[in-house]
Amino acid sequence: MTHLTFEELSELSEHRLPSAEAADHLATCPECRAAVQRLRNLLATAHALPRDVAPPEHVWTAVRDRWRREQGAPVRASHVWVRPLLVAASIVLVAGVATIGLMSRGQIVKRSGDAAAPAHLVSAVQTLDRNYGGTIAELRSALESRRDALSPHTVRTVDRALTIIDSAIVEARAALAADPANQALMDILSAHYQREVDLLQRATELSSS
Amino acid sequence: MKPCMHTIIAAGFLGAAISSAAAQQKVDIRRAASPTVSVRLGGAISRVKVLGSDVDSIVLIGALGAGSRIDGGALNVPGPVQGMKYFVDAPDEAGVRNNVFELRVPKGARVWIKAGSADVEADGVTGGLDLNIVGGSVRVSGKPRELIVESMDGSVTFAGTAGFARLKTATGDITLDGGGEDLTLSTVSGGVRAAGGAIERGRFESVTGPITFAGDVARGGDLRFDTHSGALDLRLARGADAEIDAETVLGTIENTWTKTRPAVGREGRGMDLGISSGMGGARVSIRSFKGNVRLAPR
Repeated sequence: MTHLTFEELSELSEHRLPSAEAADHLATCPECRAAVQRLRNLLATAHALPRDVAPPEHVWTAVRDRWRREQGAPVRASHVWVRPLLVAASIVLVAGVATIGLMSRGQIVKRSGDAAAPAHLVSAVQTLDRNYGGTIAELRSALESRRDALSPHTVRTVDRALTIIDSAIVEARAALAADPANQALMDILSAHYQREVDLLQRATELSSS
Repeated sequence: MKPCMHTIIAAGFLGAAISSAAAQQKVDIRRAASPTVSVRLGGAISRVKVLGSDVDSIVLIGALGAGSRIDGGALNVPGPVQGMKYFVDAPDEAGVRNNVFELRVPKGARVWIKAGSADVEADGVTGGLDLNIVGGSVRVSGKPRELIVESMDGSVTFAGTAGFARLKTATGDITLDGGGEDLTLSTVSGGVRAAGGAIERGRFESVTGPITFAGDVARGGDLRFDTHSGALDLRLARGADAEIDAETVLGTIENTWTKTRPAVGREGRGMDLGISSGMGGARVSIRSFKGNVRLAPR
């Protein structure tokens, strides 16, 4: 038996009308049907990807530093112990955000009126909590151990800003618990977490310079 | 003869001035430099002014307080300097206050400044500026290709246009009087004010700080406003070509820019507003948790 060509499989996966021969073959060939289904799943996943993903600030910083090195310019010095932590945090965050993007974007009808939380959205919130929670805990711990290196004024400013962000996270989480299908709330919560990571990174860098 | 009180006071002041002058050290460093020289200045600085010019040389002048010292120098010995790096040390807070500099660089230079609580001013640099402070203030004017400013509670002001700008504070205010290609203004509780120029890609973010925008959206531009509870006040030119998409979770939306009325959000909370004005083209998205949003004509 001759299986369908990739072009035929591709056309079928996009729901184009098959030729009579292709339709006959598809009706009797489980392998080709499975191949079409796999292609459709792949296309659906690709469509669900975010339209654009802004790289985290530290990725840009790394690119910038590399560019500066190539230009022969001095790069921003970071304390040696901070860098591995930031790199690890970056990897976790990038993986987390990518996962969330795949799970949530494009698959939710915004303001659908359906209050029930889709399983993938609940899962996305959990992934968000897990990834950011771990990163934030590590950065807070690093900052705590270097707190004495910062001036009392800086410590007060950082603490005040962290308190504000934490309050915003609590409010967004409470609203999300009451309205779990709300994509806008997911985005807001994600942005707050990112801000907290950003602030902690800056404070940690200050304490190490 | 009894000395008059004025004479005693004058003598006291003179003595203090002489003692202060003796304690201060002058800084005067001058070197020929490449047009794109990289300069890094950091440490215990209270005030620094950076000036870009057409002259291919670096001039670092100023004063060091008692007990303070400056270390560093050029990264290459022969020929025009391609990189310079200086670090200032001070014995105490009082010493920091007297460490004041003026840095003149070729306009295409890249300048890094990192200080604690300092007032940093930069003008005329078309290369790159990377300015990092905790408190104090940063004021930049001109047309830098790349501008990065980070501050904790210090205020940040930029007047001009930038190819790329990232202005970030924790509690300090951010003011933009101008525009550019790719700008991000981000704060936790400071205020964000932007006006005076066209922006192609702009991000305006706060947690509790108010955001006020009265600038222009470039044709085909993309502006995003995000806040948790800060008031968001957008003043746009009448008939501007823009697709506006605003959404609040709990806050209100008031629109006097067009006649379109916002709709009540899901479950009777928050509001939504979608507007397509003129030829569309530019995209403006507004997202707020409980901050109130106001759209009005400029």
